[in-house]
Amino acid sequence: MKKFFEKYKPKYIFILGLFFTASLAWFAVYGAGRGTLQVVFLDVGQGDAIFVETPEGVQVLIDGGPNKSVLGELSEVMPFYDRSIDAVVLTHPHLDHVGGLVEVLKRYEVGYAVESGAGHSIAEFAEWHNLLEKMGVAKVQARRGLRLELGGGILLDFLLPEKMEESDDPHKNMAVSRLSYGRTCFLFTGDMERELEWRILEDNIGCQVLKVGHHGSKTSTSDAFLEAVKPDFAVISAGRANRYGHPNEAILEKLGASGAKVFRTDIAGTIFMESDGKEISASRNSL
Amino acid sequence: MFAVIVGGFFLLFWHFRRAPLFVLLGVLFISFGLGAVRYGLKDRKGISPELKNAVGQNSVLTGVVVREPDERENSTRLLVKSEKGGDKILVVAGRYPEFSYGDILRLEGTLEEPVRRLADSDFDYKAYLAKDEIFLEMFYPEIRKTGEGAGWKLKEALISIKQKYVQNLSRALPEPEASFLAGLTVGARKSIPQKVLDDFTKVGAIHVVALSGYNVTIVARAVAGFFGSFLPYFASVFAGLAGIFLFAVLTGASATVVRASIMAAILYFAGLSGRVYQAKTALFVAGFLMILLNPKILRFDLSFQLSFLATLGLLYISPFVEKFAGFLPRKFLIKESAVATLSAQIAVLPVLLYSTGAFSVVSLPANVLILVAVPAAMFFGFLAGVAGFLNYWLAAPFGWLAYVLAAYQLKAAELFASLPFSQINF
Repeated sequence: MKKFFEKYKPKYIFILGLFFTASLAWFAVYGAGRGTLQVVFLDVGQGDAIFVETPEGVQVLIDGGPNKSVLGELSEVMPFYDRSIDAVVLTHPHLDHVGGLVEVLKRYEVGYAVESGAGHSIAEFAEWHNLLEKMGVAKVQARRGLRLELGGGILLDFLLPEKMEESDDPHKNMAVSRLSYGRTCFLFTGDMERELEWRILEDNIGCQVLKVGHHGSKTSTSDAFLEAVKPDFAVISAGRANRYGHPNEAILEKLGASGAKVFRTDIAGTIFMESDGKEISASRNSL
Repeated sequence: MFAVIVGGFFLLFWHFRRAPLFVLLGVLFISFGLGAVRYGLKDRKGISPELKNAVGQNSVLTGVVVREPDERENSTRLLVKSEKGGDKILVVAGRYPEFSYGDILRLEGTLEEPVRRLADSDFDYKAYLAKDEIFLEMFYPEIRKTGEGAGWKLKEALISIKQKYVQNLSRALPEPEASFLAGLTVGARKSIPQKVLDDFTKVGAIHVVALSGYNVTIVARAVAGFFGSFLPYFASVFAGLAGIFLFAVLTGASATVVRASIMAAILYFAGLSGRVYQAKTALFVAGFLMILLNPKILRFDLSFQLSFLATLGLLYISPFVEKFAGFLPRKFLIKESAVATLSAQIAVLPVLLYSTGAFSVVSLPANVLILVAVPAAMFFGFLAGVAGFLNYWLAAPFGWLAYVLAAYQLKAAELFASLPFSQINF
């Protein structure tokens, strides 16, 4: 037995050494990020989940889709040893946005949780609050003017809610945000409906990428709003053959007519976009 | 009853004519008859008279959760034993709030009898539930927890350890690898994505995550190997068997696990002592006792049928298969897993074809490639889950090793399942 080890020792040490070096190289590659701002619209079925990673490696997850399916999607965009997310944003407490975030809170170390402040009676939302408490996650109230500095000049600015409205409908108090990097920006609308769209028309909302409100439902994307944003890319996050009939045909036509290139998670699956601060490129596949 | 009488006559004949044929026929008829009687007795119990009238009506019940909740993608199944009437009710509830074994719940909803056939399938759902004496269902009732700790204390403790262990894994590793490893090591397959389960079913390797006898045998061997290094041979064999027992309790001791454990103990014993003959006897005794306990599993429990047949195949068919496998390399257990897979496959084939109507062509290569990594993946996965009790960073390195192995297995299953000819449907 001893002889065996003596005979093969140099060889094994060499191979181990190679393995170690290779792992280090990969760690370095992942650790350094990809040098661009990544925005990934995850295919979580009927719901929204958007993963953002800055060149410096700061990660933000906006909504989590309806259920656990977000976990498998996150594994595709995060390295396997990375078990933390810097901030999660809950645009509003409907199941198709909060359901998966509950599962994320259970498994990942989350730094900050930004929420709209809207109330809702579903059990998943109660569990979300339980877990925030239990895991000791810092809660941040989304308000017009709230700015998250993600480093490297990348900003996540909240445009809504402006003031909390007394309403049982979580859509009335939506957390809407704008992610900007250099000359490029992304508009994250959650399930924002028309009356809220009108309130931010005067803002600096002209962005290359629009996350189309409410999964492309006809409750959202008014003509005036689309005119103000004038997106190059419009992303619709919806489930295959969902029972709500999202996205709406008329909205699709309207988007097409505006000259925007439309991406749909129900057709293309997960959608990858990246920005170098000057322009945005989009692809259906992994970068 | 009639069969018993006929059998008795045959034995009477034997008394006069001493021909062995009569003994055989006699025993056959008597056992068939007694079996039918036992089966009939089992079937007689239905909905209790206390709840009979409540079926189809809105009712309020109090009961205890008597099984670990079965968490699905968008719902949770709870088995609640009603205080009134003592009926077991299958409750389909939302994912949240979460309940656990031993909780006392107040349910308000409509009691329903299970439908016999599910839409577009000829699976007898009602009989499937009835084998576990479940005759009532409740869909999305209003649930309020009124108490807890009403279960079996040891089981409560073990389930909570297991849940913590699974949670450790899921905090250390991404999905689906974390839940795959949880399935592999302690049979907790509840959160494995349906897509992964479908892939494993398609390539005929679902037994890997279903905590089959194979996984349990690995545990037994590891325990025996560990103790064998400083204890005498006999003691290490005993430690292996003890390991199987503790493992069965740890994983919740569900009927399926107990069954797998008994089969594993038999195989383990046969493998160590070379006493194949005794192992065969033990298999039949075990099968007899399980059926005596609950005769319905013989007809309605696919997992019983499969695990019994697979063990049968490993004991009876593998010696023949081994003769033709001389050319395979012994390295990395390739030969061992190929022989085991093939002989188990041959034995379960008829039942599999009958029940699923599909035959996996790639089962043999897929199983060999996946099984090769199972012992190491179980080992590192288990270490990661256990180390997680102490500290996350202690668990992480083991977790990463287990991750690589698990990712490989998932990829292998996905690859084979994606082959256009991987499955023949009938």
